[in-house]
Amino acid sequence: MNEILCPNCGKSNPPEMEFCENCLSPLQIESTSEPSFENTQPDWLKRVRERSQEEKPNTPPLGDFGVAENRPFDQSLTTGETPDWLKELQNSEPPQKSETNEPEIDWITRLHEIQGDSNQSRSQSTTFYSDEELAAMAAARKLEPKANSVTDLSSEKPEEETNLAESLLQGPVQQPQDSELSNNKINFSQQNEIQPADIPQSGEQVFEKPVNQEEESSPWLNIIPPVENSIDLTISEQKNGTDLVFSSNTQPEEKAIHAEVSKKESGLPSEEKSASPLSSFFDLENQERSTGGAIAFEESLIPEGVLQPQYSRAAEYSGRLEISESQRDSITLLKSMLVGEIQPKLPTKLRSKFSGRFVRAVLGVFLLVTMGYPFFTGFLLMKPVALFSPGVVAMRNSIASLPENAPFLIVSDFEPAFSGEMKAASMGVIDNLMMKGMNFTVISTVPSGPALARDLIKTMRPVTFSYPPEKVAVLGFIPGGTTGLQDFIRNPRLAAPLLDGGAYAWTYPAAQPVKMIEDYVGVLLITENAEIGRAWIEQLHNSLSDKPLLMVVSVQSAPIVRPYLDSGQLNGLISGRVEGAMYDRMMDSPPRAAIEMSSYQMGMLLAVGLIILGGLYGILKKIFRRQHVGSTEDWHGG
Amino acid sequence: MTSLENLVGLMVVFLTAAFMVVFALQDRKQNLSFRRIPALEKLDRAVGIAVEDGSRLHISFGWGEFLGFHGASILTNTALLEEISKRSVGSDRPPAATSGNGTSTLLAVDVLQSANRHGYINERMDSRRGRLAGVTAMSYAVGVLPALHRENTSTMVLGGALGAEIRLILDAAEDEQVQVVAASDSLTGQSVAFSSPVELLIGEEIFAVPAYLHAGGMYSASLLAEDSLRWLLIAIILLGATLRSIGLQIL
Amino acid sequence: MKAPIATLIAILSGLIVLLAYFLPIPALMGISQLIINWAVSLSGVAMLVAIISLVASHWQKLQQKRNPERYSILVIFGFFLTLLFGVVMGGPGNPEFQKVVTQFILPVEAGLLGALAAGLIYAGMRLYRANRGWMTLVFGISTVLFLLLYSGIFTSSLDIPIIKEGLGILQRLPDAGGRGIVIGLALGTIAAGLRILLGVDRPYSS
Repeated sequence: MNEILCPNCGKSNPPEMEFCENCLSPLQIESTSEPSFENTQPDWLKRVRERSQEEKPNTPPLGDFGVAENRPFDQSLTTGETPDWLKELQNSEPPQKSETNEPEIDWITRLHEIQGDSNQSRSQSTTFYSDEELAAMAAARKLEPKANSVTDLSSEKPEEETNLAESLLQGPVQQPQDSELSNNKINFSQQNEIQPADIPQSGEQVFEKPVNQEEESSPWLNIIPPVENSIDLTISEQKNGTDLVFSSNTQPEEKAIHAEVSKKESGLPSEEKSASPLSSFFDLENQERSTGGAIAFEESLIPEGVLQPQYSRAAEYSGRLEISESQRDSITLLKSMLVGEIQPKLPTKLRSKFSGRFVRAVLGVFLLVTMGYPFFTGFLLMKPVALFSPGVVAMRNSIASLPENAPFLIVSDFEPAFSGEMKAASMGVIDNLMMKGMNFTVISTVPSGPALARDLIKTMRPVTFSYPPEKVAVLGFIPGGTTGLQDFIRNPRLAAPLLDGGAYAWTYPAAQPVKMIEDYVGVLLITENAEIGRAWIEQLHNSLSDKPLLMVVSVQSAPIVRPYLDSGQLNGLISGRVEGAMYDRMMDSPPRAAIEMSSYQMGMLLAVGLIILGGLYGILKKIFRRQHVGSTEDWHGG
Repeated sequence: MTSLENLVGLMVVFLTAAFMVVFALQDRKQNLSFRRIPALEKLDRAVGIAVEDGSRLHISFGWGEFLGFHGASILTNTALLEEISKRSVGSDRPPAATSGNGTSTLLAVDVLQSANRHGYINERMDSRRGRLAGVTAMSYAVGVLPALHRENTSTMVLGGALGAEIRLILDAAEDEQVQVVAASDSLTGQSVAFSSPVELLIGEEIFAVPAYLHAGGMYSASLLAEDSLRWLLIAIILLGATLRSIGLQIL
Repeated sequence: MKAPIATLIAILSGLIVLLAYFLPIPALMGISQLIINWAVSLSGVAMLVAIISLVASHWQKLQQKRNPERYSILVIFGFFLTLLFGVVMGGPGNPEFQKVVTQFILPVEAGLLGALAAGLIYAGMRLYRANRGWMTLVFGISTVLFLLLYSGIFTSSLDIPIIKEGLGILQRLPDAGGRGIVIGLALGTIAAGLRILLGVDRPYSS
């Protein structure tokens, strides 16, 4: 069968294969000028390969698991032991110049160059060597027995790819003069110390083998000597033999790999041996290998099985993870720590023993009991009011000056929550207006306003003596807040054409005489909201001319509204329940809600007392805390 | 309104507009700087923290009427909501808003939908995130409480019209340990918030929120315009008081 | 609506209403009145939409898978019952329907106000936690003073001139501070409105 031998590893492959089964290199080398690899192989090499195929098993393909070689790294090599193939080489004719071969692709595929007795042929390569390759070479040199004879490797033309094996067998190669050395210097220490004489003069880069390196490493790394931390460029010439020294250069065009090849005894002249401390594998400056003589290897190359990646089948472990108790505890602790980390904690505030809800509930109960006491017992806390505020007096005077049976506008803009206070504050005013027989038009910018106004009017007059319905026109709710208010002020009939019941408003007896806002003899605004009060005041200010604008507000709005009274924009102001009672007193009416007033006053006094107590507690707490800190410092001070 | 008052009013409006334009042009040349407001600095920080820890920011628009006095604070809260929405990109819980008025509810929903369209918010928009809480003051305050109890809110901005009922919200926020920035435009609300250990914006500081959150150069310019007008007003008031005290009733 | 058109409408509307407020030109005032009417009507419609949105949000809360809010069913039930009652009764003008306000809403809100009062007292008791510096002390003292003032204790006393003068002065104290804050708010409102008029602030555009 016409099989094809791989030019790279030498393995035989079927003829139809394009790539080698072993090393995947192409089998068919398309080269018109170059002869086939088979034809260019020297006879000795062929014999060596055949013998190695017979003697040793095929090298496992790269990447397969292989058996780790247990050869110790620093096993000293016996000298004087020459392999058979080398002996044959010594007896064979000098090698011929080989043609250029295809360049190597990567350094792994060029391992054959390193291994003397491997099946792979020594193909030529123009690719520069990497650090790993040079280290492998150095290691191979150390492991293999030194060659007694020089294997003559033919050199090629400078511009062609050179054969590594041939260059190794040649004599020392001159150093490139203009090579620049890289800064990456790897220094291998050797078993034998580097003698000062071994150190090259020029700045040449070498690798030196490490000595007594016992650090743990993978089988692959065991082959390559470990690197010392300190890197220095030295060139060493080994006393006991040849150390292939390698250098690497990061600049490809100036990369010069210097190798020192010790000469065989029968090889090169001694002066060359001593005069070539640095040798290079490839001469980039086209130096021909002048000598076709053999270059003796003091050491043989590392066998292929050693340099190939030593993979070992991984030990089989059970899929179940065995966790010890201490590890379990650590896991639990870590989990709890991480869970806490997920939610960022807000700064913890100092919380009192009792929750806020509980305290508020207790306060509420306390308030209920205190304020409910007058209802159950009829207890009156204070005497009737004796002083009258200016706003109450102005209110009374303004109402007294109003004509009777005239249209009067009531704006009911208070919320249901404040209905109690607003009722108590405005009852006297409404009553007074009713006594004058006013025709009320009720409007509101709050949705619940009309209902509350009706309730207010009904409260004033019981059903039996109810105020005539035709004298009350409830226009309902105007949406739009201040804008709706302004709309109503500009044109009431257009803004609120209907009553809240759906009938047309402006034919209703109470509202019929009104065509503009100025037709009302007065306006009473009942609200707890200061902003609504201000809006009505500011919008009505110029529209009412000399008509009185009266307001009944909540106590909370009084500070905002009172300046309008002082400026004359407001003609009467009653703020809160107390001033409503003032108005009743002024009108010589009996107190409408004395019990409620007493309850209200008791609640206010309770609030005052609790706030004072709370303030004192806070002050004392701060004082004692300061003192506590101070005493601790004094105690431990000095 | 008398003609003099009309004229003064128009002058104030045009003066404010002029100040705004001038300061806007100045802001383009050099960034205008403002005094420190700790509450706004904490709000700025709270936005980032809320995004990082996946909690929600809630903005309360208040129950005030948009077509009234509270319209300005509602517009400010709208700008705040827009800015927070932009900063909440990638947040697990996008911001929410509640309001007590129809117009402001629609404004808030529009801002949130716009943020959804622009991709600031990935969560599908639904009515729970921009809703009407209540139409009266008390009902609004109660309607806001579920946002504190159930919606994983970490920070709440209480803006708009909120009076004494703000106390209910502050108590619930304290129970739930929610950080609050009180920015009510009501004097009563500001007074009630003053008694609590919350971040408080007093007076016109509520209108400074967009400028401090770097929502745009015009907000900074309008802030400076307000400051300038305030100083002018102070001068006029002092002048008028002085003239009145010596018997001259010019102003 | 496209952003430039919406902006133009907003600016024109605002300018017309503003100028009509200051310049009593009849034509301008007529257009301003029309715009205000539209705004008021739209405000009512917006409230209706917001109320529907409120019902929808409660419905979604009821249906949410995690922690559904079961009390929302009460809200929805109460809403539709009140709506039905109002439609049947003929609207908010019906005195019977108005009992919804007086018999339900009023007591509920009054109760809330009572809870509010308890909360305010509690906050007043813990005023020292506010950390406002010396203003905390001033705030506390003024709180106590005005609670006593508005409780009517001093008005029940005898007609003593010094008490009357003192009460008058005390009542004016918060007026000045409140007025200052309100002026600041008004200036901010002017600036906010002008941002709309200048087209800078466009909350309506998407």
